[in-house]
Amino acid sequence: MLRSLKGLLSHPLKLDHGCALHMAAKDCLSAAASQDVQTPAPPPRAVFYTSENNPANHGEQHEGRHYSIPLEEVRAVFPHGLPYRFQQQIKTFNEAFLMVRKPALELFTYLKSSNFAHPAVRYVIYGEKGTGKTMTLCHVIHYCTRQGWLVLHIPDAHLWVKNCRELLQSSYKKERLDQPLQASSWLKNFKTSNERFLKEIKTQRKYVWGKREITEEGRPLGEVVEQGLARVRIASDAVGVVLKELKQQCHLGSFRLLVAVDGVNALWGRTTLKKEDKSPVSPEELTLVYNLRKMMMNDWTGGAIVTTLSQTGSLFKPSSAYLPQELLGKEGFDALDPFVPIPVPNYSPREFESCYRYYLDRKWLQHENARTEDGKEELRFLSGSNPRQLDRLAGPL
Amino acid sequence: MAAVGAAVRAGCWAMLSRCRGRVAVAPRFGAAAYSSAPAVSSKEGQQREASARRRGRTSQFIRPHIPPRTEKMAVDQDWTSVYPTAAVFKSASVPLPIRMGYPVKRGVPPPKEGNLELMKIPNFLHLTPPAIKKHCAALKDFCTEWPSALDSDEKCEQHFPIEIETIDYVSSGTSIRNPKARVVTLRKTEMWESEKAEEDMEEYTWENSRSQKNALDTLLRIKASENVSNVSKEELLASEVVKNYRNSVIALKNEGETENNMSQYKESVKKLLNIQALP
Repeated sequence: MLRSLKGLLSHPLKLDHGCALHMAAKDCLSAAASQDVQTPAPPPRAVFYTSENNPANHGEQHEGRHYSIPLEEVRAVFPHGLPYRFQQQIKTFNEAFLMVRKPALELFTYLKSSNFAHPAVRYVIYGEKGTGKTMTLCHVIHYCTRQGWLVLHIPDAHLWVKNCRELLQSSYKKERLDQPLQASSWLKNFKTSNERFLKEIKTQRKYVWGKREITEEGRPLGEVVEQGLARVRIASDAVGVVLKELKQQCHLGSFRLLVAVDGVNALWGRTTLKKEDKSPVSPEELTLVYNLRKMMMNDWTGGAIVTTLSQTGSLFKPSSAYLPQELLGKEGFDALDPFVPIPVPNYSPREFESCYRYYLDRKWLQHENARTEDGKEELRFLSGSNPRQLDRLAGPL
Repeated sequence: MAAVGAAVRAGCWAMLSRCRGRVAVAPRFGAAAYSSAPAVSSKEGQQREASARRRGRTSQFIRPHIPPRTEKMAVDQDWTSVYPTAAVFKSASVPLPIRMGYPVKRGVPPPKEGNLELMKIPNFLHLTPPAIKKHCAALKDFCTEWPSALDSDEKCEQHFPIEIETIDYVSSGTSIRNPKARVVTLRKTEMWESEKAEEDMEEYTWENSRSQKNALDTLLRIKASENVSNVSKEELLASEVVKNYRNSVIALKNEGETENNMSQYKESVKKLLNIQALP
């Protein structure tokens, strides 16, 4: 057999002075090589994926791994609040995978061991742009929802201090201004996420909305929300009533309240809104902001306040500002003090590896160079291990 | 030999000047050019007087040029006798190689001889330290001792809170009267200084601040929830955790935010609010 092979090979050798052999050899080699590439050992899914879907059981061993949230739960728990790009990713991949990271795990330990008879503790998540503060907040919200807490989620407080077309003078207090559209959209989303609580919690006093609309004492809170949605003019006041009722009833212990605010620095900053006489509006003149500020005080018990600082979307703040004092200002810092600051850093090497493998697994990275080690290092360098940058870079690849 | 050489050169110059008539004599010292009139150097003086003698134009009595006094001054002379009072700057009396003035292109500031810039300005050559010492020695007989108890600025301010500032030096210009002499400043603590608000403070003080209020309120509420009997504010303030918290807040506000400061603040708040992290 060897002789026959030799014979086969020697013919081309004689004919083409070794070039064919060269080519043949190269073809053989390349065929062998492509075979190797086509069937690489797939990276074990355990590196970036965990099947533990209950955030309550997430621990250090799950750090850096993605866990999935069923889509119906996404719709119920996060009617608003997920970052826009993440929502698009969910639509593309048809699944929602969230990475478990250290700041969130830290918050879980605090929440698990917190004493609910004490005043509510405030946690402020801060970090540079695009490091995952909103995602950490969403992770915490998911955890609390699974634990059965009532989640009061304000997706982006900045939306309440800018771009408001209609400002109505408040009927309750003359100096304040209402924002009917923002208030009603928030009420709608709040209703979606907290249906069952709205049936259980009862109002503690009578509320008069107008000449004919009255909400009696002892009616479920859902009615107040319905009023707000039906009559948009009083939506801001309805929001105020909801917040007040929740705060008053939380200490009774029938439910735990999580106040989750994204972009809390908007409450103490400046607004871009103007009154009819073109004078600027300061945040406390807005009913929504005023009521939310009251919620941020730690004079109630039975829950926790988790907030995020955000420069994106903030007004009149330089783009390099990310530290609490820079974004909150003196007033905000004094109002939130004492709070527990929780920094969120860029991806650690392990987390970066995990995110990269996830994108590869989802076939999101199509470029052939992206699969190589060099490509990975290039991605790491270009993005600086920043989650947002990595996401943006991986998009066109 | 140098003198012969000089005479020959002088002769050449003289010839040249005769040939070309009244030509402006170019300065002898290389490319140095300046805006004020070129000074007369000794060699030039000699040449001029030599040429004048040769030409016989002695209509004016030419004083023999004497070297300036500076060349005869000893290094350790008594300067107070050279300039005992305020006087104009005399280039021949001041042995310093000073240059002053604006140079033309590619030039240097003009030297001191005949320099109007130096003569115009007031000088303090009459007030050197030895001169001041002499003044003080002369005035000492008319003075009494400084009270030994007032040895620091704070003590002076405490015992004599009113300060009056006057300016009484003369001005050396066209008029000796100093315009600032008309101004008398009376300095003491004004009433409006007690209205200094928190925004005006240079440093952050924790006492009486919002942070202290918040912390005390929170702690009181915690204690109330645990049904601990009335703990007084002073006790709370003196406790270790509050002191720790106070230091971290002061550091945060005064020094700005650094990783170190933030982590210190975080630890102090956790201790204050009794938050334990599960292992």
